[in-house]
Amino acid sequence: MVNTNSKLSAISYMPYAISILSFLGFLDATYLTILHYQNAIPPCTLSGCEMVLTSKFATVSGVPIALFGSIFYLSIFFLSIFLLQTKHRLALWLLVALANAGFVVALVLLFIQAGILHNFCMYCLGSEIISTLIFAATLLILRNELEKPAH
Amino acid sequence: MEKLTKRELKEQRKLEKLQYQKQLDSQGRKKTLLLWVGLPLVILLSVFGLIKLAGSSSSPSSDVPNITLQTPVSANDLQTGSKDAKAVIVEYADFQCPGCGAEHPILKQIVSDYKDKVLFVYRFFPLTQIHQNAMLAAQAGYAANLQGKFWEMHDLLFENQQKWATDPSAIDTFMAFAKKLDLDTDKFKNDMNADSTKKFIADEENAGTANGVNSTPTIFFNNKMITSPTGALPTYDDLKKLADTALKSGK
Repeated sequence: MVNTNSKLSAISYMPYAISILSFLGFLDATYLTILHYQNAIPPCTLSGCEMVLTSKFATVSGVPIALFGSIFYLSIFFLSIFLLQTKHRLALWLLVALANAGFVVALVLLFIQAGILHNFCMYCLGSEIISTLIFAATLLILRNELEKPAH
Repeated sequence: MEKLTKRELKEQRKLEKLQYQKQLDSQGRKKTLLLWVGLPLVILLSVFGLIKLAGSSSSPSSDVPNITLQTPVSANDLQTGSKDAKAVIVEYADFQCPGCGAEHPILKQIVSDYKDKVLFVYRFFPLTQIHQNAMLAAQAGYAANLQGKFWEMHDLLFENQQKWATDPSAIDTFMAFAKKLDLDTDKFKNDMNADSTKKFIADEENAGTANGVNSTPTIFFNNKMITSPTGALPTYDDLKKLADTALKSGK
Protein backbone atom coordinates (compact mmCIF):
# COMPACT_ATOMS: atom_id res chain seq x y z
CA MET A 1 0.00 0.00 0.00
CA VAL A 2 2.71 2.41 1.02
CA ASN A 3 4.49 1.53 -2.18
CA THR A 4 1.62 2.40 -4.48
CA ASN A 5 1.07 5.65 -2.62
CA SER A 6 4.63 6.82 -3.04
CA LYS A 7 4.50 5.76 -6.69
CA LEU A 8 1.37 7.82 -7.17
CA SER A 9 2.85 10.90 -5.60
CA ALA A 10 5.95 10.55 -7.75
CA ILE A 11 3.78 10.34 -10.81
CA SER A 12 1.80 13.42 -9.86
CA TYR A 13 5.06 15.37 -10.14
CA MET A 14 5.65 14.16 -13.69
CA PRO A 15 3.81 17.04 -15.43
CA TYR A 16 6.01 19.47 -13.48
CA ALA A 17 9.07 17.53 -14.58
CA ILE A 18 7.86 17.72 -18.17
CA SER A 19 7.36 21.48 -17.89
CA ILE A 20 10.87 22.01 -16.59
CA LEU A 21 12.45 19.60 -19.09
CA SER A 22 10.63 21.11 -22.04
CA PHE A 23 11.66 24.61 -20.95
CA LEU A 24 15.31 23.50 -20.86
CA GLY A 25 14.86 21.82 -24.24
CA PHE A 26 13.36 25.02 -25.57
CA LEU A 27 16.37 27.06 -24.40
CA ASP A 28 18.74 24.55 -26.00
CA ALA A 29 16.99 24.31 -29.37
CA THR A 30 16.35 28.04 -29.56
CA TYR A 31 20.00 28.79 -28.93
CA LEU A 32 20.93 26.57 -31.88
CA THR A 33 18.22 28.16 -34.04
CA ILE A 34 19.52 31.64 -33.27
CA LEU A 35 23.10 30.58 -34.03
CA HIS A 36 21.91 29.17 -37.35
CA TYR A 37 20.22 32.38 -38.44
CA GLN A 38 22.91 34.71 -37.15
CA ASN A 39 25.47 32.77 -39.11
CA ALA A 40 23.32 32.14 -42.16
CA ILE A 41 26.04 30.38 -44.17
CA PRO A 42 28.70 29.23 -41.73
CA PRO A 43 32.13 27.84 -42.62
CA CYS A 44 32.45 24.11 -43.36
CA THR A 45 34.42 22.07 -40.89
CA LEU A 46 35.50 18.52 -40.33
CA SER A 47 35.03 18.11 -36.64
CA GLY A 48 32.91 18.89 -33.69
CA CYS A 49 29.64 20.62 -33.24
CA GLU A 50 30.01 22.85 -36.28
CA MET A 51 30.25 19.85 -38.54
CA VAL A 52 27.03 18.40 -37.16
CA LEU A 53 25.26 21.75 -37.30
CA THR A 54 26.40 22.51 -40.84
CA SER A 55 25.89 19.05 -42.28
CA LYS A 56 23.17 18.47 -44.81
CA PHE A 57 21.20 16.72 -42.07
CA ALA A 58 20.96 19.88 -39.96
CA THR A 59 18.29 21.44 -42.14
CA VAL A 60 15.14 20.27 -43.86
CA SER A 61 14.77 22.25 -47.08
CA GLY A 62 16.54 25.22 -45.55
CA VAL A 63 14.77 25.19 -42.19
CA PRO A 64 17.09 24.20 -39.33
CA ILE A 65 15.98 21.17 -37.35
CA ALA A 66 16.70 23.24 -34.23
CA LEU A 67 13.74 25.45 -35.15
CA PHE A 68 11.45 22.41 -35.24
CA GLY A 69 12.95 21.53 -31.86
CA SER A 70 12.09 24.96 -30.45
CA ILE A 71 8.49 24.67 -31.61
CA PHE A 72 8.30 21.08 -30.33
CA TYR A 73 9.53 21.97 -26.85
CA LEU A 74 7.37 25.07 -26.67
CA SER A 75 4.28 23.00 -27.53
CA ILE A 76 5.19 20.42 -24.91
CA PHE A 77 5.78 23.20 -22.38
CA PHE A 78 2.39 24.83 -22.84
CA LEU A 79 0.61 21.49 -23.07
CA SER A 80 2.12 20.37 -19.77
CA ILE A 81 1.09 23.63 -18.09
CA PHE A 82 -2.37 23.22 -19.58
CA LEU A 83 -2.49 19.65 -18.25
CA LEU A 84 -1.49 20.82 -14.78
CA GLN A 85 -4.18 23.50 -14.85
CA THR A 86 -7.09 21.59 -16.24
CA LYS A 87 -6.20 17.87 -15.89
CA HIS A 88 -7.70 17.63 -19.35
CA ARG A 89 -7.43 14.20 -20.96
CA LEU A 90 -6.95 15.63 -24.44
CA ALA A 91 -3.86 17.53 -23.27
CA LEU A 92 -2.42 14.29 -21.98
CA TRP A 93 -3.03 12.46 -25.25
CA LEU A 94 -1.52 15.29 -27.29
CA LEU A 95 1.45 15.33 -24.96
CA VAL A 96 1.95 11.58 -25.36
CA ALA A 97 1.69 11.81 -29.15
CA LEU A 98 4.18 14.69 -29.35
CA ALA A 99 6.60 13.05 -26.94
CA ASN A 100 6.48 9.85 -29.02
CA ALA A 101 7.30 11.76 -32.19
CA GLY A 102 10.06 13.63 -30.37
CA PHE A 103 11.60 10.40 -29.14
CA VAL A 104 11.66 8.92 -32.66
CA VAL A 105 13.27 12.09 -34.07
CA ALA A 106 15.85 12.03 -31.24
CA LEU A 107 16.75 8.45 -32.11
CA VAL A 108 17.13 9.30 -35.81
CA LEU A 109 19.32 12.34 -35.05
CA LEU A 110 21.45 10.31 -32.67
CA PHE A 111 21.88 7.65 -35.35
CA ILE A 112 22.94 10.28 -37.91
CA GLN A 113 25.57 11.68 -35.55
CA ALA A 114 26.93 8.30 -34.53
CA GLY A 115 26.58 6.37 -37.77
CA ILE A 116 27.00 8.91 -40.57
CA LEU A 117 28.79 12.01 -39.31
CA HIS A 118 30.90 10.26 -36.65
CA ASN A 119 30.76 13.49 -34.70
CA PHE A 120 28.63 14.62 -31.81
CA CYS A 121 27.33 17.97 -30.80
CA MET A 122 26.74 18.57 -27.10
CA TYR A 123 23.70 20.78 -27.68
CA CYS A 124 22.15 18.11 -29.91
CA LEU A 125 22.89 15.34 -27.43
CA GLY A 126 21.37 17.46 -24.66
CA SER A 127 18.22 17.87 -26.66
CA GLU A 128 18.06 14.15 -27.41
CA ILE A 129 18.39 13.30 -23.71
CA ILE A 130 15.64 15.78 -22.81
CA SER A 131 13.31 14.35 -25.48
CA THR A 132 13.89 10.87 -24.14
CA LEU A 133 13.21 11.93 -20.55
CA ILE A 134 10.00 13.70 -21.59
CA PHE A 135 8.95 10.58 -23.46
CA ALA A 136 9.59 8.43 -20.38
CA ALA A 137 7.65 10.85 -18.16
CA THR A 138 4.61 10.80 -20.45
CA LEU A 139 4.70 7.00 -20.47
CA LEU A 140 4.63 6.97 -16.67
CA ILE A 141 1.66 9.33 -16.56
CA LEU A 142 -0.11 7.35 -19.24
CA ARG A 143 0.41 4.03 -17.47
CA ASN A 144 -0.92 5.51 -14.27
CA GLU A 145 -3.99 6.88 -16.09
CA LEU A 146 -4.76 3.58 -17.76
CA GLU A 147 -4.48 1.68 -14.47
CA LYS A 148 -7.03 3.99 -12.88
CA PRO A 149 -10.55 2.54 -12.85
CA ALA A 150 -12.81 4.35 -15.33
CA HIS A 151 -15.33 6.71 -13.82
CA MET B 1 -42.85 39.03 8.90
CA GLU B 2 -40.73 36.42 10.58
CA LYS B 3 -41.20 33.95 7.76
CA LEU B 4 -40.16 36.55 5.30
CA THR B 5 -37.06 37.35 7.25
CA LYS B 6 -36.20 33.67 7.46
CA ARG B 7 -36.64 33.42 3.74
CA GLU B 8 -34.65 36.58 3.26
CA LEU B 9 -31.92 35.23 5.48
CA LYS B 10 -31.85 32.03 3.49
CA GLU B 11 -31.61 33.93 0.25
CA GLN B 12 -29.02 36.22 1.67
CA ARG B 13 -26.93 33.24 2.71
CA LYS B 14 -27.35 31.75 -0.74
CA LEU B 15 -26.27 35.02 -2.28
CA GLU B 16 -23.25 35.22 -0.02
CA LYS B 17 -22.28 31.70 -0.89
CA LEU B 18 -22.60 32.48 -4.57
CA GLN B 19 -20.56 35.63 -4.22
CA TYR B 20 -17.93 33.76 -2.32
CA GLN B 21 -17.76 31.16 -5.04
CA LYS B 22 -17.60 33.89 -7.69
CA GLN B 23 -14.75 35.48 -5.82
CA LEU B 24 -12.94 32.17 -5.73
CA ASP B 25 -13.61 31.76 -9.44
CA SER B 26 -12.31 35.18 -10.29
CA GLN B 27 -9.25 34.54 -8.17
CA GLY B 28 -8.65 31.33 -10.09
CA ARG B 29 -9.22 33.13 -13.34
CA LYS B 30 -6.81 35.84 -12.32
CA LYS B 31 -4.26 33.19 -11.49
CA THR B 32 -4.78 31.48 -14.85
CA LEU B 33 -4.60 34.81 -16.64
CA LEU B 34 -1.40 35.65 -14.81
CA LEU B 35 0.04 32.29 -15.77
CA TRP B 36 -0.80 32.61 -19.46
CA VAL B 37 0.50 36.17 -19.62
CA GLY B 38 3.53 35.48 -17.45
CA LEU B 39 4.74 32.35 -19.21
CA PRO B 40 4.95 33.85 -22.71
CA LEU B 41 6.74 36.78 -21.11
CA VAL B 42 9.28 34.41 -19.56
CA ILE B 43 9.66 32.70 -22.95
CA LEU B 44 10.18 36.04 -24.71
CA LEU B 45 12.72 37.19 -22.14
CA SER B 46 14.69 33.95 -22.42
CA VAL B 47 14.73 34.18 -26.23
CA PHE B 48 16.03 37.72 -25.91
CA GLY B 49 18.73 36.51 -23.51
CA LEU B 50 19.71 33.71 -25.86
CA ILE B 51 20.02 36.14 -28.79
CA LYS B 52 22.44 38.21 -26.75
CA LEU B 53 24.36 35.10 -25.69
CA ALA B 54 24.58 33.75 -29.25
CA GLY B 55 25.54 37.17 -30.56
CA SER B 56 28.49 37.48 -28.24
CA SER B 57 29.84 34.05 -29.18
CA SER B 58 29.57 34.36 -32.95
CA SER B 59 30.89 37.81 -33.70
CA PRO B 60 33.37 37.50 -36.56
CA SER B 61 36.52 38.41 -34.67
CA SER B 62 35.94 37.00 -31.19
CA ASP B 63 37.37 33.52 -31.66
CA VAL B 64 39.82 33.81 -34.55
CA PRO B 65 42.94 31.88 -33.59
CA ASN B 66 46.15 33.87 -33.60
CA ILE B 67 47.78 32.02 -36.48
CA THR B 68 50.38 33.25 -38.95
CA LEU B 69 50.63 31.59 -42.34
CA GLN B 70 53.90 29.65 -42.53
CA THR B 71 53.65 28.68 -46.20
CA PRO B 72 54.57 31.78 -48.18
CA VAL B 73 52.94 32.58 -51.48
CA SER B 74 55.08 31.16 -54.27
CA ALA B 75 55.05 30.93 -58.05
CA ASN B 76 53.35 27.54 -57.72
CA ASP B 77 50.28 29.11 -56.18
CA LEU B 78 47.09 29.69 -58.10
CA GLN B 79 46.92 33.46 -57.98
CA THR B 80 45.39 36.55 -59.49
CA GLY B 81 46.26 40.24 -59.09
CA SER B 82 49.62 41.87 -58.63
CA LYS B 83 52.62 40.02 -57.18
CA ASP B 84 53.81 43.24 -55.52
CA ALA B 85 50.47 43.98 -53.89
CA LYS B 86 50.49 45.30 -50.33
CA ALA B 87 47.34 43.32 -49.58
CA VAL B 88 47.64 39.56 -49.96
CA ILE B 89 44.63 37.34 -49.45
CA VAL B 90 45.17 33.58 -49.23
CA GLU B 91 42.05 31.44 -49.16
CA TYR B 92 41.96 27.75 -48.30
CA ALA B 93 38.72 26.59 -49.85
CA ASP B 94 36.59 23.68 -50.94
CA PHE B 95 34.53 24.11 -54.10
CA GLN B 96 31.67 22.13 -52.55
CA CYS B 97 31.53 24.07 -49.27
CA PRO B 98 28.48 26.37 -49.13
CA GLY B 99 30.44 28.81 -46.95
CA CYS B 100 33.08 29.13 -49.67
CA GLY B 101 30.32 29.55 -52.24
CA ALA B 102 28.89 32.38 -50.15
CA GLU B 103 32.28 34.03 -49.75
CA HIS B 104 33.13 33.70 -53.45
CA PRO B 105 31.22 36.77 -54.76
CA ILE B 106 32.66 38.87 -51.91
CA LEU B 107 36.25 37.89 -52.69
CA LYS B 108 35.62 38.31 -56.42
CA GLN B 109 34.30 41.81 -55.80
CA ILE B 110 37.33 42.71 -53.69
CA VAL B 111 39.72 41.38 -56.35
CA SER B 112 37.97 43.29 -59.13
CA ASP B 113 37.66 46.51 -57.08
CA TYR B 114 41.29 46.57 -55.99
CA LYS B 115 42.76 45.07 -59.18
CA ASP B 116 46.55 45.55 -58.97
CA LYS B 117 46.58 46.54 -55.33
CA VAL B 118 45.66 43.08 -54.11
CA LEU B 119 46.97 39.57 -54.67
CA PHE B 120 44.50 36.74 -54.27
CA VAL B 121 45.69 33.16 -53.83
CA TYR B 122 43.45 30.10 -53.94
CA ARG B 123 44.61 26.96 -52.16
CA PHE B 124 42.82 23.61 -52.32
CA PHE B 125 41.33 22.29 -49.10
CA PRO B 126 38.68 19.74 -50.16
CA LEU B 127 36.75 18.38 -47.17
CA THR B 128 36.45 14.95 -48.74
CA GLN B 129 34.94 13.31 -45.65
CA ILE B 130 31.81 15.43 -45.82
CA HIS B 131 31.75 16.56 -49.44
CA GLN B 132 31.55 13.75 -51.97
CA ASN B 133 32.49 15.85 -55.02
CA ALA B 134 34.98 18.20 -53.35
CA MET B 135 38.06 16.30 -54.54
CA LEU B 136 36.78 15.88 -58.08
CA ALA B 137 35.96 19.59 -58.26
CA ALA B 138 39.45 20.46 -57.04
CA GLN B 139 40.88 18.16 -59.73
CA ALA B 140 38.75 19.93 -62.34
CA GLY B 141 40.07 23.27 -61.11
CA TYR B 142 43.67 22.12 -61.33
CA ALA B 143 43.19 20.56 -64.77
CA ALA B 144 41.69 23.83 -66.04
CA ASN B 145 44.74 25.62 -64.64
CA LEU B 146 47.00 23.46 -66.82
CA GLN B 147 45.22 25.04 -69.77
CA GLY B 148 45.40 28.51 -68.28
CA LYS B 149 41.76 28.78 -67.26
CA PHE B 150 41.77 28.16 -63.52
CA TRP B 151 39.88 31.32 -62.54
CA GLU B 152 37.22 30.80 -65.18
CA MET B 153 36.68 27.24 -63.92
CA HIS B 154 36.83 28.45 -60.30
CA ASP B 155 33.99 30.89 -60.98
CA LEU B 156 31.88 28.29 -62.81
CA LEU B 157 32.36 25.76 -60.01
CA PHE B 158 31.29 28.18 -57.29
CA GLU B 159 28.48 29.81 -59.21
CA ASN B 160 26.91 26.45 -60.07
CA GLN B 161 27.77 24.74 -56.80
CA GLN B 162 24.24 23.59 -56.05
CA LYS B 163 23.90 21.91 -59.45
CA TRP B 164 26.75 19.48 -58.93
CA ALA B 165 27.42 19.39 -55.16
CA THR B 166 25.60 16.14 -54.43
CA ASP B 167 25.28 14.85 -57.98
CA PRO B 168 26.81 11.36 -58.38
CA SER B 169 27.60 12.23 -62.00
CA ALA B 170 29.20 15.60 -61.24
CA ILE B 171 31.97 14.73 -63.67
CA ASP B 172 29.54 15.32 -66.57
CA THR B 173 28.92 18.85 -65.30
CA PHE B 174 32.67 19.46 -65.02
CA MET B 175 33.20 18.19 -68.58
CA ALA B 176 30.45 20.55 -69.75
CA PHE B 177 32.26 23.43 -68.00
CA ALA B 178 35.50 22.43 -69.76
CA LYS B 179 33.71 22.50 -73.11
CA LYS B 180 32.16 25.86 -72.27
CA LEU B 181 35.63 27.26 -71.56
CA ASP B 182 36.93 25.88 -74.88
CA LEU B 183 39.37 23.55 -73.16
CA ASP B 184 40.83 20.49 -74.81
CA THR B 185 38.44 18.08 -73.12
CA ASP B 186 40.57 14.96 -73.64
CA LYS B 187 43.56 16.61 -72.05
CA PHE B 188 41.30 18.05 -69.33
CA LYS B 189 39.99 14.60 -68.46
CA ASN B 190 43.49 13.10 -68.41
CA ASP B 191 44.87 15.93 -66.32
CA MET B 192 42.01 15.61 -63.87
CA ASN B 193 42.89 12.02 -63.14
CA ALA B 194 46.67 12.45 -63.25
CA ASP B 195 48.58 11.53 -60.10
CA SER B 196 50.41 14.85 -60.26
CA THR B 197 47.06 16.65 -59.99
CA LYS B 198 46.01 14.65 -56.97
CA LYS B 199 49.42 15.17 -55.41
CA PHE B 200 49.27 18.95 -55.89
CA ILE B 201 45.88 19.09 -54.17
CA ALA B 202 46.95 16.77 -51.36
CA ASP B 203 50.14 18.79 -50.79
CA GLU B 204 48.19 22.03 -50.51
CA GLU B 205 45.71 20.43 -48.16
CA ASN B 206 48.49 19.03 -45.98
CA ALA B 207 50.20 22.39 -45.87
CA GLY B 208 46.87 23.92 -44.89
CA THR B 209 46.44 21.45 -42.04
CA ALA B 210 49.99 22.24 -40.90
CA ASN B 211 49.04 25.92 -40.90
CA GLY B 212 46.12 25.26 -38.57
CA VAL B 213 43.42 25.19 -41.21
CA ASN B 214 40.52 22.93 -40.20
CA SER B 215 37.56 24.56 -41.85
CA THR B 216 36.72 26.30 -45.11
CA PRO B 217 36.91 28.99 -46.10
CA THR B 218 39.97 29.82 -44.03
CA ILE B 219 41.27 33.20 -45.12
CA PHE B 220 44.66 34.71 -44.35
CA PHE B 221 45.06 38.43 -44.85
CA ASN B 222 48.72 39.42 -45.11
CA ASN B 223 49.62 36.07 -43.52
CA LYS B 224 47.27 36.49 -40.57
CA MET B 225 44.30 34.19 -40.15
CA ILE B 226 41.05 36.19 -40.12
CA THR B 227 38.44 33.42 -40.03
CA SER B 228 37.42 30.73 -37.56
CA PRO B 229 35.31 27.58 -37.81
CA THR B 230 32.68 29.07 -35.52
CA GLY B 231 32.72 32.73 -36.47
CA ALA B 232 30.75 34.54 -39.11
CA LEU B 233 32.45 34.82 -42.51
CA PRO B 234 34.07 38.16 -43.36
CA THR B 235 31.83 40.57 -45.23
CA TYR B 236 32.85 42.82 -48.11
CA ASP B 237 33.24 45.68 -45.63
CA ASP B 238 35.44 43.61 -43.32
CA LEU B 239 37.82 42.82 -46.18
CA LYS B 240 37.70 46.33 -47.59
CA LYS B 241 38.64 47.74 -44.20
CA LEU B 242 41.60 45.38 -43.95
CA ALA B 243 42.71 46.16 -47.50
CA ASP B 244 42.39 49.92 -47.03
CA THR B 245 44.35 49.83 -43.78
CA ALA B 246 47.10 47.71 -45.32
CA LEU B 247 47.34 49.94 -48.40
CA LYS B 248 47.43 53.11 -46.31
CA SER B 249 50.14 51.91 -43.98
CA GLY B 250 52.06 50.69 -47.00
CA LYS B 251 53.27 47.63 -45.17
